[in-house]
Amino acid sequence: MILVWLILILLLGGLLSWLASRWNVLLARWIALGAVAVNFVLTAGIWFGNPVPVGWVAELDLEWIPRFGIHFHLALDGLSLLMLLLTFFLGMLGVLCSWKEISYRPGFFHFNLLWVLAGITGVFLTMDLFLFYFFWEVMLIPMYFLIGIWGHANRIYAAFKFFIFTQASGLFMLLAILSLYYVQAQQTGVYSFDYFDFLETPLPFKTAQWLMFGFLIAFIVKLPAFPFHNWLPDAHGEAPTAGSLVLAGLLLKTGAYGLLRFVVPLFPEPAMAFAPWGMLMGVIGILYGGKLAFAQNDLKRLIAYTSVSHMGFVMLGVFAFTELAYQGVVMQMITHGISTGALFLLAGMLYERTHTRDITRMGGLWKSSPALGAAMMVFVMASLGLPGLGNFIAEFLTLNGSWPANRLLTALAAVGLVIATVYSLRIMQKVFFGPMPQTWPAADLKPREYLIMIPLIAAIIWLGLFPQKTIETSGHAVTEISLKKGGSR
Amino acid sequence: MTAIFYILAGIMLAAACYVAVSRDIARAVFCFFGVLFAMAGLYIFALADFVAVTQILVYAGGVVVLMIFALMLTDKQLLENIRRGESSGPRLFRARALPSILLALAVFAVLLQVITAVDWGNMAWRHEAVAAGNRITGHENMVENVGVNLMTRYLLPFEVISVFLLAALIGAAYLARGRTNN
Amino acid sequence: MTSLIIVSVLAVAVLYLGLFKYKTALLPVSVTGLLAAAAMAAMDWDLEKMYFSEMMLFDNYAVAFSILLILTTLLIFGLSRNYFEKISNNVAEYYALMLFALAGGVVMVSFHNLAMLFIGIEILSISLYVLAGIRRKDPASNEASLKYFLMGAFATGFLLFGTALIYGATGSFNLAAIASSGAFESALFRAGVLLMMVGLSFKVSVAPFHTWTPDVYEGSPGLIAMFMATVVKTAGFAAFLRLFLMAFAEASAFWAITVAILCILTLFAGNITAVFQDRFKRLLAWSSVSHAGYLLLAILAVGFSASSAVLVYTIAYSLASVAAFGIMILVSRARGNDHLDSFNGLARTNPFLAFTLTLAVCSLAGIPLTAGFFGKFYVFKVALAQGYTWLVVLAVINAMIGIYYYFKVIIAMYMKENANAVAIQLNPGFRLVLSIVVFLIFLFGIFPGLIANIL
Repeated sequence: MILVWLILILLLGGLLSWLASRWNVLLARWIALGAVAVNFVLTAGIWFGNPVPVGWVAELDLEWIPRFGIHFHLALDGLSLLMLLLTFFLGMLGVLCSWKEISYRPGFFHFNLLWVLAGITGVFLTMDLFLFYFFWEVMLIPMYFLIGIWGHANRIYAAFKFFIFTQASGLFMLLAILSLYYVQAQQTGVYSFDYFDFLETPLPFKTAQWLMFGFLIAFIVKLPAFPFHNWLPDAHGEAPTAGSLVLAGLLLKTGAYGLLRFVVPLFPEPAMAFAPWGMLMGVIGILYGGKLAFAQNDLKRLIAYTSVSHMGFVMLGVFAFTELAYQGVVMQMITHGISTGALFLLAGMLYERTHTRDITRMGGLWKSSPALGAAMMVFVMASLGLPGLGNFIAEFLTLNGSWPANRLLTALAAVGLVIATVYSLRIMQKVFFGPMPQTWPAADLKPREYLIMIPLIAAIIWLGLFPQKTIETSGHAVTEISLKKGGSR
Repeated sequence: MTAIFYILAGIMLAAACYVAVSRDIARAVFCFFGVLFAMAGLYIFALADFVAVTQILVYAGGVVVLMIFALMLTDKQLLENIRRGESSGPRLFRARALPSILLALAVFAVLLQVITAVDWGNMAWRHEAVAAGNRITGHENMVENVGVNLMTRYLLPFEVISVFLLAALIGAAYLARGRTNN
Repeated sequence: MTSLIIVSVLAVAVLYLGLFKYKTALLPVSVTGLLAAAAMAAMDWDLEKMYFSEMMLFDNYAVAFSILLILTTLLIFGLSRNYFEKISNNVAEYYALMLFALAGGVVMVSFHNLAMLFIGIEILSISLYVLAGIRRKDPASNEASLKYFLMGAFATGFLLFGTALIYGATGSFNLAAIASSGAFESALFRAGVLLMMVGLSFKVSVAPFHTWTPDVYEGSPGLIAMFMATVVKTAGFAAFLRLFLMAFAEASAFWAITVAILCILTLFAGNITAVFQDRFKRLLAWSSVSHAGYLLLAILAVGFSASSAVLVYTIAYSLASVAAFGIMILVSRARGNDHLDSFNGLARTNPFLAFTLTLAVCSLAGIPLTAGFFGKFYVFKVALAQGYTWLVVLAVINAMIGIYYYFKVIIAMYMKENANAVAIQLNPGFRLVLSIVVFLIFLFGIFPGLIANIL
């Protein structure tokens, strides 16, 4: 039952916050923060209650539309648990960072924010493919509004592009889900959208391949992998800070999660066949994303392209088909969520101070705001994979796991780390050091901003020094997924 | 007998073609009268004397006369414009030639196909009807037949048509009402 | 049957009320009568009654669609307070004509004989010819009426000719007799099916017989356009499906490919043209063409819960259309026209209207949490069950195009500003109807089992 509450609290919190904003905006913000915080505490409680979850920690299966065999089926395992923790953690920060930034229709803003989070929570929890598609789409509309109403100058175009890309790819997934439903019914006579039923359905290779592409396209557009990445810089660049945070930190992860949870276990053989191409797409994403990141002057677009590059590692790891690589992917999802989320938050703070996103116009900010600079330094270092920070563990595991699968591509991917160093240092150089083109109003971090930054820094360092806890949590789920490959052979 | 059938059909087709291409509305209406009259003749061939009489009374006698009245009451200038095919002046919309011709040809093709493909003398339900003695010889009282059927088997359609006529009546009354009251 | 009688008598009663100038009683009487009619229809549930030598069959299909038609009309009546009064002094006629049209619709969903189908369609059509031209001084309205009449008459010709050929092939007008005649191979029968299909396609605006739709919708008063988009379309499709389900199902191998082609044409014609519209009413008209395409998809799947799919789809579509047209009427009345720019800044002046329209448009586009999503899902599902994968792929592509143009109005409302926009006043009827529609769209979006299990 707790799983439903996780979703319901967010939905109701969103509605309440919207209503409350009619009388008191501050109350609305507190309600939103409270709702996410309650969820975070609940999830953390589960985590500490079952230190190393084995199998399904919690499950709920209700009939929804019996005529079609559609169930309201939620289940939580280690992988979902980690993703949920990340979701609510970043969700709280999202509310906090909008405290001052969003003053136009704040109630509606928090409504949308919480509903996006609810959709994401649903995606991470659901074990019924119809329900999965349902939540997959529920995320989109509020996100569309977040970008379209509270974004920067070019927001309408960006929001539209984001929506069309994800919606279009999602429809292909719907088609694949429906086809899978009928293929299964033909083979076994069972009309069901249940994940576990699908897992047991043997599929002819050709059919499985087509169906896999339906899923794959939805996930790699969302991820985004190389040829489908071009909605991302626009959406990230134009979104408000909380929007970018949720997009980069969470929405992209739903794509990665989908690859791990659905593509690999449901279609192991065609996924194996596709693996070289998948890894290639990953590597192209790493290198090309890095190259483009280096060429950007707009800070938020720059960070957006680093996401493309980092998500390349996810692609690479998923299609490497080794347990080690999967561990790396899970770590990458979490650490990228934290580090890139933090970078977007910092970009938002810089924008509040300088009212520009153009890094050529910034410079010398270290003098006026050293704390801000220090925070930026931590996450830039995380982003380039400095040992001791979480991202290093993730990239190391991924590369290590991919090495047996394809040495050439893994070597090329490692080159991406060098590129990462170059663009990361360029950020620091342009923004905090170098000549100061104009004097900025000196304003260092305020208490609220410290409150946002300290947990993030703590988290990334903790993940870097003590990754064991996280790896153990997802360990069982990851083993299950990588066993799929062995089982199908 | 067959000759008369072809003569009637020929008159009908020729007149109908003239109606379709003519730009002079008055002539078209008169040719239309010819079409309807020839058709009544064809009904008699089908032993449907009641329908034939109704056709003459209602269409030839009623509708066409109504059309002629409408013609007499219409603005002369408008008719003249239409006759000369002028593009200026009031005009609602014109049917585009190419799609119309294509559509007509398509329907014609379907009909042609039907005419050639169907074995007319050998249809199952006709054999059944003949075997059951359920056929018209030409000596029956068709009016009685129609009347009985309307009051028994087709009672519901007959009644529902009254709703249809009422709706038409109200609509006509509404559209034709004088413009003074509002 | 009782409901049909009530609706017909109600129309006459309304006329009498108009005659004796009880204008204030018009709406209450109509609403009460319609509620009674809906209740009477519901009483026929599961009875499967045949009437008058098998002319009509009130099976569950007929009952469900009759109730849908009656309730939709009820919603439209809820919006019509003070609407017709602005057009003319003689309000009773409008109510009467709409009720007559509804009676025609009820006949269309419950016929069991081709003669009844024809009469039903004609009752519906002739009322609409007049309703389309109800603004007598407005040339656009006159043109709409005339165009609709000419096209309708043309379609009737096809329909009648098809009926005659079917009679020639099978010797009967009775649906059951046609279905059991075994004459499906004969050329006469096939030509009849084709011609009837063309006739019905005209009525439900399936491409390439849809060209009248945008002009007629645009020229007609908004409320009448709403009536056409909801009640008429629902009745038309219910009749289409009923005919093909009960009489021609055995011959589906022959007509399926034609319907599939019509479906593709309709989807692309409707969606692609809608992209280029900048007036909301025309946009809705073209989108209604495209929705005919999705519904054809369900007709292809005859026998595989197609009737349930069509019912769910038409419920979702009718609800969303009532909201969309209703708000279009309000906006064009307050801001002078229905251009998409007129919707700018509506989210600031009228948050409720903006939210309702967003929901309606999302439902039309098939976004989850709304009833429309489930409608689309269901239609795709039944088509896939029949193996029309390629067709569903094309339909999915069209759904994407649809999202593009539907979102134009959301962008206008939420992301563009209009400095001198003032709040639009809502009368209680509008508020009530729109609230009901919002509630139902959400309800059926979250618990689609409620409507999916009816048939």
